Amino acid sequence: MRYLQDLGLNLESAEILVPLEIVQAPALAEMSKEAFIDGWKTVGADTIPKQKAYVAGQLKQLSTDMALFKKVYRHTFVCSREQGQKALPLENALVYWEMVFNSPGQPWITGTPPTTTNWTNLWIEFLRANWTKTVNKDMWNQTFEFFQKTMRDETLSFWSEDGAWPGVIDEFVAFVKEKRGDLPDTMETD
Amino acid sequence: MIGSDAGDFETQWDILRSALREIHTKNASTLSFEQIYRASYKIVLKKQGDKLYDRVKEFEEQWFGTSVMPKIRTLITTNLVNNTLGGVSGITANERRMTGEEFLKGLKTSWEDHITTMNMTTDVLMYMDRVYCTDNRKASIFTTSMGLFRDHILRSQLTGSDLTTFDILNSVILDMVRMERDGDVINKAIVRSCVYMLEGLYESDEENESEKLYITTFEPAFLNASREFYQKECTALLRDSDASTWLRQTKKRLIEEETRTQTTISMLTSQKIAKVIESEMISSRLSEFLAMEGSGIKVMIENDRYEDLTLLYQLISRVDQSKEPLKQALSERVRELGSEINKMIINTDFSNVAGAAEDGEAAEGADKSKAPRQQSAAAKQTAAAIRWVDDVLTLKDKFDSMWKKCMNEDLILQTALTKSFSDFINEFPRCSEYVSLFIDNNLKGGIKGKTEAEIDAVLDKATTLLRYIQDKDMFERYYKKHLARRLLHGKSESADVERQMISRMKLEIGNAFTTKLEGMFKDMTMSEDLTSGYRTHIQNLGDLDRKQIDLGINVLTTNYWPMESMGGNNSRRDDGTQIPCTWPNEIHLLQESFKAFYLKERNGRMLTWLGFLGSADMRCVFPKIPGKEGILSRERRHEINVPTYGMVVLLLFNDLAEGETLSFEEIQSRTNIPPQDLARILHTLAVNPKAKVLTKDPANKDLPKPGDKFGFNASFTSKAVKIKAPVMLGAVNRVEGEEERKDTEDRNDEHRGNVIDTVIVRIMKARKTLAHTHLFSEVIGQLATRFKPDVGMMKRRVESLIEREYLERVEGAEVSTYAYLA
Repeated sequence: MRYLQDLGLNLESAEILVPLEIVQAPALAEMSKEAFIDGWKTVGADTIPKQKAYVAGQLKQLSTDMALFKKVYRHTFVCSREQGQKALPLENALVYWEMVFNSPGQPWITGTPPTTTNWTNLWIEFLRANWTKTVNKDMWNQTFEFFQKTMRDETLSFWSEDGAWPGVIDEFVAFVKEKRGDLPDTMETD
Repeated sequence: MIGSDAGDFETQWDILRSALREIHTKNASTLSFEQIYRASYKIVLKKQGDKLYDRVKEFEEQWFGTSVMPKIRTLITTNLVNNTLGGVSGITANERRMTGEEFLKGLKTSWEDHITTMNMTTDVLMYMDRVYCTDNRKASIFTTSMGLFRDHILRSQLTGSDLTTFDILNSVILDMVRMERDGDVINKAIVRSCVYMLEGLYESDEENESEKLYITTFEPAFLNASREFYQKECTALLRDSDASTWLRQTKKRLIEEETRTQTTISMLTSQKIAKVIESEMISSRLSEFLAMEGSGIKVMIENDRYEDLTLLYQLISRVDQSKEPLKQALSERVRELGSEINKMIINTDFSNVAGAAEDGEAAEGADKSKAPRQQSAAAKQTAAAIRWVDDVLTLKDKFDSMWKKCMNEDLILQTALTKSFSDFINEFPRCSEYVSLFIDNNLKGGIKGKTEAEIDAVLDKATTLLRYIQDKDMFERYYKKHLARRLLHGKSESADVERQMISRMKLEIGNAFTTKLEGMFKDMTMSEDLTSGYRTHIQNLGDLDRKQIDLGINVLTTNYWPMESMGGNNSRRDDGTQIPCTWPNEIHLLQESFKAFYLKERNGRMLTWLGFLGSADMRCVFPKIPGKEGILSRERRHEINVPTYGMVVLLLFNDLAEGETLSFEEIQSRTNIPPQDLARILHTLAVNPKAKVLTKDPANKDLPKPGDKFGFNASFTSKAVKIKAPVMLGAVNRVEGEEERKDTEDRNDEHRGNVIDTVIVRIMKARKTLAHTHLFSEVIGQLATRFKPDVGMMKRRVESLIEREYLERVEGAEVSTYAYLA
């Protein structure tokens, strides 16, 4: 979209997700006038240069501001859906996960080199092999919760079967644990 | 003044002293009480009670030293000293006992003498006690003298040794106790007397109950010695003997020691010595005794050793209120035996049946006698199922009896046993099915000839098992299926007993389920009425058509009956409606006639004819075969009862010319009977010799299939005039094959999913928001009487409800929480 280009953003990258969230765009190429006005008014950027500067600032903060990252992440699901669909096809979701969990977003990686765990890759690998359905909102959002928890504790000690995690997360945990059992902690590094 | 006082004192004291001497030497009768009393009175009046007091004390001390102790010392032989020191005794046990006795007697005598003299002394010095002692807070002279006895007799040291009289005393008594424990006879009375003495003496003049010398000095020694003794005895039993002996010996010792405290030592020790035995003989090596090969708890249970078990229960109850070791042993045993029962059945399941028998599973080109053999393999499985139930009930009886007779109907044990039974029963995946089959078997005829009480007993057993089953909804499913078959095939032995079973189930499971069952019964009764009503109706219409078909009708209300388990699966469309077969004309007319009759008074109902149920009695005429002799040379008439589909098929052959045949495909298209059902019915009519009224080409025993040709079997013969075509597989209640069972489970799971949804929504609607763990435990709680919901299933339902926007997750809550979305 021209507008996004005007903001100086790379249309192929996750950068566009930031302004899309600000204006609460319901789809990648759609914006409602009201939401547009409200959105920019709230952050006090009423001209394109101001908006451009604001977005640039937000992008810098994305990697450190967890609340902001969460907001953008969540909205990514909302606007990346096809018209009339409530869920994302798996392939699309995988692309978006790959996108958000990388710069300028926060990489989903734990540990110190050389023994790091690239969770994004694990997650994608797991889903490719085991998930044949679409990705609904709850699954998308809960993935973020899981991401947060693993970033703080990569041993998965926070997880328990009696927790409220959706079944797919439970299965993912089993998948990861099995992998860890066989191989040393060195997972695929980025 | 002082001088005369002093002189006065000595005068009075002289009187007293000589009096005391007389008293002590048992010459008191010569004394004048008044004179002596006055002497002490005068002294105390002159405020010299303290001197008097001291002098009396001195007197006693001297008396002990010069007159009493020497006597006692002579009784303390070197052997007694050696014994006390723990050295080897140089004499026999008997001699030891005798010298010990002498010593005790001597001690007893000196004690009793002391009491007597001190009583008298107290009498004469009463004024001193009352005035001087009270005023000066001194113990009475009696009490003081007891202390002196303690110090100067009991605690008097022997020459050349650290030992005191007391040490010898303890040692002698303990020695005697040991002898008695070993089986010897001792002089209990003399020991008792010395014990009385110890109970009457105290550590201090305050004479606190807890400071009796018995308690401070004798008892600990006694308990220690006893502990050692019983430790050794227990170890010896463990090494040389068996559990049974151990139990009896322990009981014996408990009684023995109790008696000992009553007759020989003191009742004060009663509880403590019991504790010693409990600790050394019961607690310390309990698990080892229980584990003994050949006599331990497993053997006791196996061989119904009630006496042993009763003793065991009593003894364990003494040391452990929760009877933990016994509880565990029993639970373990139940679980082990239960697992064995389960294993035996599972082996029967898989080993016997070559290619598990399934309804309608036609093995393509498999071995020839497959179809009939399927039946008997299934029958074997069913018999095995019934045996499983019987085995479980037998096991329960065994433990119930044990519990009643040996364990005092202990509630804690009952809970443990119930849990263990429940555990292994529910571990067995087919338990619901098998229990239903058990009841089915009984209601079909197993109760024939039984008395009311016996029938009650059977129903009781069934109800008990039902109580254990966790997946009650599975049980309901099977019960409905089996009941439907019983009712429709008239296999029920007694409607009354059926009703009794249902009312028991009501108590266990509740109304919702039993309402449907009752609905089934109602349908049957109503159907009887309809049948006779219709018959009357037709008669009243007049003009009795000779060819009028006599109709027996069963009208089933869809909701009550387990339609998916009644054999109509092949003819059911996805939307649940039936694919109707093409009825012969005369049948069609009959159906319309009945329908009119039925709907006359019932508007808005829809009747669907179920071809896969029911049967028809058909009159068949078989011609004489030219050129043959015997039976075949004559015309034969038979009446054959065939399933409904069979009737539809057979009527086709009425229009055939002689020798003409119909192909499988033709029959199928003209009757519209589902191919699998058709194959089976043709097998009944064209392969099975019992009612082989059709011929099949090729004439082998294979299951009929497309390509086969069928014709009228003019040469059919049968010894019986009335023949019943063998019932198709699926009409007999038997154990499900693997695939069938998977179906039932899937259906059940689907139903459970819906139930869980309803419960979750209901709970969330009431609570508005609820934490995840609380929600799940409430769901589990509410469903406990129906089934145990699987955590994975519950999670999936929650996810589904979130997606359908009934619930949402609450952001930022401390623990995972859901909120209800109105």
